Amino acid sequence: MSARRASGSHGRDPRSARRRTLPQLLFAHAAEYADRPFLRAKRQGIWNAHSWREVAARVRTLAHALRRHGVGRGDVVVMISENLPELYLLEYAAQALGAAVTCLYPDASSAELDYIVQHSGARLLVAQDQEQVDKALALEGAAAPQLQTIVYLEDRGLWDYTDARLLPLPALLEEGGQADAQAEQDLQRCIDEGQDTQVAVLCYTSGTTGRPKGVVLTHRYLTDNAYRLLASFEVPRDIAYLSYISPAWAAEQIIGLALGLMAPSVIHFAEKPATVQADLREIGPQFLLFTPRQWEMMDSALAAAMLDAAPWRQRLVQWALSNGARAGWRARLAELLIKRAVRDNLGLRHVVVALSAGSGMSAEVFDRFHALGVPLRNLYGSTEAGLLTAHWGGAFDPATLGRLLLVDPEVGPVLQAEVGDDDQLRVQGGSGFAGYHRDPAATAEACQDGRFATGDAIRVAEDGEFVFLDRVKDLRVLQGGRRFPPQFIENHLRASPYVRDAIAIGDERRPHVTVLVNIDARIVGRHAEQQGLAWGTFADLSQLPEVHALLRQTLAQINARLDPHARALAFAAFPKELDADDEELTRSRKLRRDVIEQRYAALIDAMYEGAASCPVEVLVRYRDGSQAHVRQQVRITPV
Amino acid sequence: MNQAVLAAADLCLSFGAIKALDQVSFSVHAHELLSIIGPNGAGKSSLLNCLSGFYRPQSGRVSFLGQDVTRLPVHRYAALGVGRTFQGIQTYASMSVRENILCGFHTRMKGGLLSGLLYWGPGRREEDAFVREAEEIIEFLELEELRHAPLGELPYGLRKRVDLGRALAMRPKVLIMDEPMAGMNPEEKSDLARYILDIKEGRRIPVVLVEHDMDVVMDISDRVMVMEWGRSIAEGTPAAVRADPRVVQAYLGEAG
Repeated sequence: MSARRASGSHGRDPRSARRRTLPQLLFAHAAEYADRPFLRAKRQGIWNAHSWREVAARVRTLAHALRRHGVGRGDVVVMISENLPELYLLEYAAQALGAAVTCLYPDASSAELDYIVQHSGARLLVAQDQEQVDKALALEGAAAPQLQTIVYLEDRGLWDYTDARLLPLPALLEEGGQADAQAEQDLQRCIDEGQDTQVAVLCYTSGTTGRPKGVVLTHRYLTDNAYRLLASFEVPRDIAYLSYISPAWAAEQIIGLALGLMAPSVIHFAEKPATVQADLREIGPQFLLFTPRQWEMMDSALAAAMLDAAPWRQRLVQWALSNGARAGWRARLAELLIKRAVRDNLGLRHVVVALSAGSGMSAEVFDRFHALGVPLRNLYGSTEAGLLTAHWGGAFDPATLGRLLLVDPEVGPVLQAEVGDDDQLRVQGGSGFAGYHRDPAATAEACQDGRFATGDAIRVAEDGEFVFLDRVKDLRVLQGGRRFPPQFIENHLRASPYVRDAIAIGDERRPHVTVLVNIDARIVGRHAEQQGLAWGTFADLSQLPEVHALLRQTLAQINARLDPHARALAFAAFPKELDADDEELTRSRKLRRDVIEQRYAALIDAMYEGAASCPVEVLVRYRDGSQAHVRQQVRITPV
Repeated sequence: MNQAVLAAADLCLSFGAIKALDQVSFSVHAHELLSIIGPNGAGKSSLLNCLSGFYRPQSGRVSFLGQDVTRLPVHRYAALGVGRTFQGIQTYASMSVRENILCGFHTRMKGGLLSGLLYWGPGRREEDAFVREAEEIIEFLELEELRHAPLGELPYGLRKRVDLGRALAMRPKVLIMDEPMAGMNPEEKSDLARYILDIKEGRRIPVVLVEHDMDVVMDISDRVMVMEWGRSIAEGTPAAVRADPRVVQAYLGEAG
């Protein structure tokens, strides 16, 4: 019997934002911390630090410039870029003027950009490079005349562009540098007049269902949520943080931009996305938030590296991670000889707070990181209601999401959770949910009696620990009315180094469960190479009988942990990689089931008919707009 | 039109009875990408070799930034600012990407053996400056994640990119590239084409390109010169050259 309600507590950490906006915090702290480093970025092989004083001065200059370009209270600035220090500066600058920002994933399509520019009403856009500028210049319809200024950060390839709206960042800084004393006074008034109930960020949800909705994140939301982590995890001061997850995600806004000001942190930026793994090791961050997928990729990268190691090294690492080396002198020896070196190689040697947030994570991967000595903790929340629960206060169980987080007493009441008869979690407390931008109907639907409906099926255990079952709408019923947990099967499959993604199939029309697997071509390829197998393309590799034997073994192990009715009885492997460009994944790499099930309907039917194989033809779209067909006879293997 | 950066007038070059170059004139201007095309044996490489001082023409004149350089020894060309990449791979397999690019600075290095061994004072400052410049090139060619990777482990397309980086280290005022895309797959070709355009547009270095891939040539060139049997038979924009009946007959092949 589980509890239907749970309440959190208030935190006692003194680092409350005390109802200030992010720019107010920045300028107050800049006076105090002066020459201590705040932002560190690697460029041309060298780490450059920017002190609090420099950052504050730069933000002022940019704010002046943005003001000249018409940015003011209530406006929205859209930014589309990788994580760069300039993005932080521009965000604080826009917020100093009372404006809000909206960040997009760098791989967002022109259509997404078009929708968000129109919906947010932005007139100024910040684009990282030529790729993003091209997207912005390609906007048509209402968004085109609305955009008046496009600020770009990198000039490669843009040397000969002549569009009058384009403005390089150095030119923007120069304009800002011309501000006079009057402008300085006006800006200071803008900053002082800022209220923490103002909109700081519009966070467009990735939209696994329908059109993206712009979630309003106020300054109070950001600082309250940052406080929940500060207080619950007792985050140390001057902690090294790697800005890696996209600021398009609320988590980076909370942990990077807000918590960075409050902890404070030293925020690091990798040289470019391809160098993150190497830079991670140089930084040795103390605070990290990755999505489960990113942790899993790190885990498979480790597994892949181990395949290349000498056999005695492999055995040594296996021993160090095994139960035999978890206590006493053996544990100390394993730590000294192996674990510390492995953590160092992964860049996790100094980690104090390591969080996994997003969708569910497999217990195997979680356990493996713990065996390595990485204090990995689950974090659960929603863009709308903020961060809700985590493994804080020492306890952790990979199967749970932890307990309700501590709330800033200066912000509002404690977090309260209630699970209804529909298994749905509803929450209230803290800074709460401020609504969807320009969408009162959706706001009212999601938030009734002040409680926000998360859409998550959650079980609250007697000790207050939250257990994630599935999305309410995703719990699946098989023919005959018995339920099965698709995510459980998928997460455990993904824990295998050979599997990149998996999707469990089954509904009222289906008597049992089947599975579609997207193999990890790098690791499966290496395995096949060692076996001396021949293949040419991803499609060939995915259909090799030896590869299927491997997958079958993995699936059989998972089946052994399930009730008989919920076991997968057959599977097939996708003949191409699932790709966000083909709309099979969201930009944050979540599966889009409806698209996949529709596209591979014939294959799914064949699995239930007990066929041995099925011809599949899929359309592949490339970034440059060209298309190709993948045709393949897809093998179906019973488990 | 502005002054030619690199020009040749009435070049003649014979090997025995074979006329490799017959009265060939040529010029490349600032902000220009000039491609030279033609069938095998048309004299493209001979022309490049004359332009970069490897061959001495029997008659005619090569001038660089207005200066007559026809009779200069070959090593002076590089010092003046004529950069060149060669067919195939001419990089050091056991050295890292950054070290390979640093090799390109040797024409500009002043320190001798002694200061190199001591690694102190001016010798050290010089190396620091060159490393910074090499890092700029690494950023320009987007090789950051590979800066310490041994070149021998990299695929052909990347090694060619490093080769290009080494040519840039000389700070050339004109860049001559001999079939840079031979043996590359389409993706590597389009990558390299992108960097060649960036060199022209971003670094303002004119480029002379000999290349067999017509799609690439027609796509990125400002001007194309067509050679056959040691002569220049046509010159103009890609569209004009493509439409020229002599070119169609001599090189692109008759329809049907």
